[in-house]
Amino acid sequence: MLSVLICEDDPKQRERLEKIVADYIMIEALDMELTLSADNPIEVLTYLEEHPKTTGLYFLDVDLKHEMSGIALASEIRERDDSGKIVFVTTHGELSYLTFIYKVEAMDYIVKDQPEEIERRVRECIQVAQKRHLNEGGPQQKRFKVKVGEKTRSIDHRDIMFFESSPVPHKIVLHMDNSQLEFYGSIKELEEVGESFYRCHKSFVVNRDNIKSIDRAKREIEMVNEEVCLVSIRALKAFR
Amino acid sequence: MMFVGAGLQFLIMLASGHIVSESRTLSAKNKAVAILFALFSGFLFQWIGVYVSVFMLLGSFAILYTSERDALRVLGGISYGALGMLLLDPVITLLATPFFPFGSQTLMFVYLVFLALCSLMFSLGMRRLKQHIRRKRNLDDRLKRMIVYLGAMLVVVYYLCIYLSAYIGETIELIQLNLFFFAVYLLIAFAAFFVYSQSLRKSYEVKQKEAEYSTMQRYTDELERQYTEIRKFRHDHQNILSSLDAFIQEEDFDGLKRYYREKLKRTSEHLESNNFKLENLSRIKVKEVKSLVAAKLIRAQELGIDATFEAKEEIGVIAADSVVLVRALGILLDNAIEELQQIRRGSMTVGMIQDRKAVHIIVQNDCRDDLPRVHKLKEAGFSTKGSNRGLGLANLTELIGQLPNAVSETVVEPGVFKQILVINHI
Repeated sequence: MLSVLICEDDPKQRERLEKIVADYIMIEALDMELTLSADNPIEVLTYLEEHPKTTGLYFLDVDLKHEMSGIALASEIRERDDSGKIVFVTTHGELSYLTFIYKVEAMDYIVKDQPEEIERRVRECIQVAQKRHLNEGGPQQKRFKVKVGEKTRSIDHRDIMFFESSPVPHKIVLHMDNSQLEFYGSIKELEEVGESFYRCHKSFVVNRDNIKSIDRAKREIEMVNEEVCLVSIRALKAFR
Repeated sequence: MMFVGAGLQFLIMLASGHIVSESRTLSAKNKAVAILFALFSGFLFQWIGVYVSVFMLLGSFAILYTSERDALRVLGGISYGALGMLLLDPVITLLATPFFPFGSQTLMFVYLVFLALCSLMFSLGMRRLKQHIRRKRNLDDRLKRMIVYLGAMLVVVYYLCIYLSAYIGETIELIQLNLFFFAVYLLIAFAAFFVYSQSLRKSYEVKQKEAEYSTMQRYTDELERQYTEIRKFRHDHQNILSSLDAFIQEEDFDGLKRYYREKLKRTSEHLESNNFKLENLSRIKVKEVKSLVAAKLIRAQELGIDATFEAKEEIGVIAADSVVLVRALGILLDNAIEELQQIRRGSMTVGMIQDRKAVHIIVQNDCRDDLPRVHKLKEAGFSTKGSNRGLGLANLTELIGQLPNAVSETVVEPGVFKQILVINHI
């Protein structure tokens, strides 16, 4: 079950949020509960200490009139509940889109300068959070985890085309459908990522599940995203 | 023997040039042409002697150029390949003569074997050096051209020396003298080159400083304008409060409602305008970076692009060589601005996010829906504006490669292009 937690220092706005959330859960009869509505971040963190198994949908005000900002609170929440869904409630002036999305991987944000929009947006967020939560309940997908700065990125194996060692020592380029990500590592240890991963060349580890075709004459593998990776003569034998 | 020697020399020259210029494997046709040309050189040697080298140089250039189509790189490869051969030629001759009689067949044989081996090793070393320099330092085109011309000039001078000695008549003393001259030329050439590259770097730094100064000036102007804006707003704020007070005193709630809708809403719209989209710039404490980002984003706004900068924490240090970092960021920002100019809509957001381990620099912009796929964009020489124009992502990757503690990420989502640079603290 998904718990909804609110942290907002202004009592009027907090009450309003509570009402919108509680009404919507009741009307739609969702498997959700408004478990906490706090006016300071410490209360939220204490709750998470006491209930460590919580998967939450968090509505956080950015400016909490507290030494810990909503963004800092979100980072702390991430460490305790890494699949939690975070939604920032903020004024236009405090809107920091990239920080929300990139740093704390917030699910969404609601701008409170347009009061008439708030209710609709809160409902939307609840719907999306519920949907995602239900999807996550299914069989766990295999994921590849990698550190970028302080952040841990987690990538579904199905999205990986291949790994390529970069001409720069110790860097690896991870090729996905329409994106590329560099990280530190060695190509050798990537053979062990999963059984569908195969070292097909001195500098490539390919995900067999995403191969479209193999050109034996040119010794190239074409992936489902039309990208091409190389294959050595020796490794070619493994593909039949 | 002489016939074989000349032919082999041509092949060595071609192979060295091929190695140093990092060319791709020659096609079968080109290989055949090379063998034919080697035979031709052998014959020609019997007619015109050492002057055949002119044909050999032209021949190897022609063969490599038809396969590579990059004159500068091929010229550089052949020059530095030939340079190795030319330097090794007298060295081997001088080292071998004490053991074998000068002008004998055995000497010729030993000489050829060693020349082939040593030249190829020299070329491999040269290629290593080239790759090493490329990784360590970013050479601009002017400097690259300078290096290539320098090599070519040296080869020309060396051959002139050889022709001269051939004209006078070859003796051991003359070969020694030649070697001495070669070494001196080489030293002088490299000293000159070093001085030149140094002064080039200086002038680049001066230019950079000037540019930095002028953008700082613009940034200050911008700040002053914003300050005035805020002062005006503060003044308005006072007025608003006193009128609110008046409405409340008179308990005129209809008036208050009207006032709220007509006046106050407009003021808050004003706060969303361009003027405050760059205020976070003040959080960047790295001067070169601040001035670059300010310059590019102010220019973008002047072009009518919706550009925002975001940084919630103070960015005190970015652990990267500032010349490389500024160039890389410049390319990123220019790419974003160009794309937005082309599609004539959309916005760009630049952000710097700090965590305990790294600074993350994000440049995000709207893009056309049919943008080529990431791996196409990253191909060398690819540009969305046709070949050889603009600086593509490949250059950027090369630049970032020089920063051992930086990694990049490129993401294309429908209609949005995102490039992230993560610079780890050292």
